[in-house]
Amino acid sequence: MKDKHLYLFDSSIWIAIERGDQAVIKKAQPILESNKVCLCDLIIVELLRGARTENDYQGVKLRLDSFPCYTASWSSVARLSFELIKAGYLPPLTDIYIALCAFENKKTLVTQDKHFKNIHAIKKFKLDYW
Amino acid sequence: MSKKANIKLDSSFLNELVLSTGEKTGKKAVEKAIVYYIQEARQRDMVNFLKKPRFKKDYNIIKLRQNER
Repeated sequence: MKDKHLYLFDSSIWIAIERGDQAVIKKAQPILESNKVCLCDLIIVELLRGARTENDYQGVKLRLDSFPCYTASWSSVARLSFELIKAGYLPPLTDIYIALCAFENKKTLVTQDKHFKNIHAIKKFKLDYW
Repeated sequence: MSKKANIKLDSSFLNELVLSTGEKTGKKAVEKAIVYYIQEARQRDMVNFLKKPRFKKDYNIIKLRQNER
């Protein structure tokens, strides 16, 4: 159970895997197989609300609950939102929260959502865009 | 829900497991190891699990985030 660097897979990555995006699957598979993936609470919420049926909801929840899960502080979200608006950006609060989850817990955020680049311009965190 | 199980374990493995998990008893250490093992197996199986559609067809999280600004 030693420490290893973890990759925070954004909801967009999980959905790309489920849609059969082979380029994403090829990159994600070895990271998943070495148990180096983590989540944040908001990503779990986003994925669960998109479940097709009650059975899918329960199945997805059971599996997502097996990953290490991190949070960010809402006071940091407020501060960064303020700084982003000053710089002329208005990203969704969910993006800011997820970016801060990666920043505060020192994880690499893996995403397909380009809006994280705007946040990254102001707050430096490890970002991998697939 | 729980199930009773009497199993014979190699005492050196069990002692090492107790030390490595930081638990006070062998029972708790074994329980922790089983949960850990199953959780890691579930993580590794995610691509396989997501081969079956699990999310709504039109569920577009990037668009949804933009609409919720």
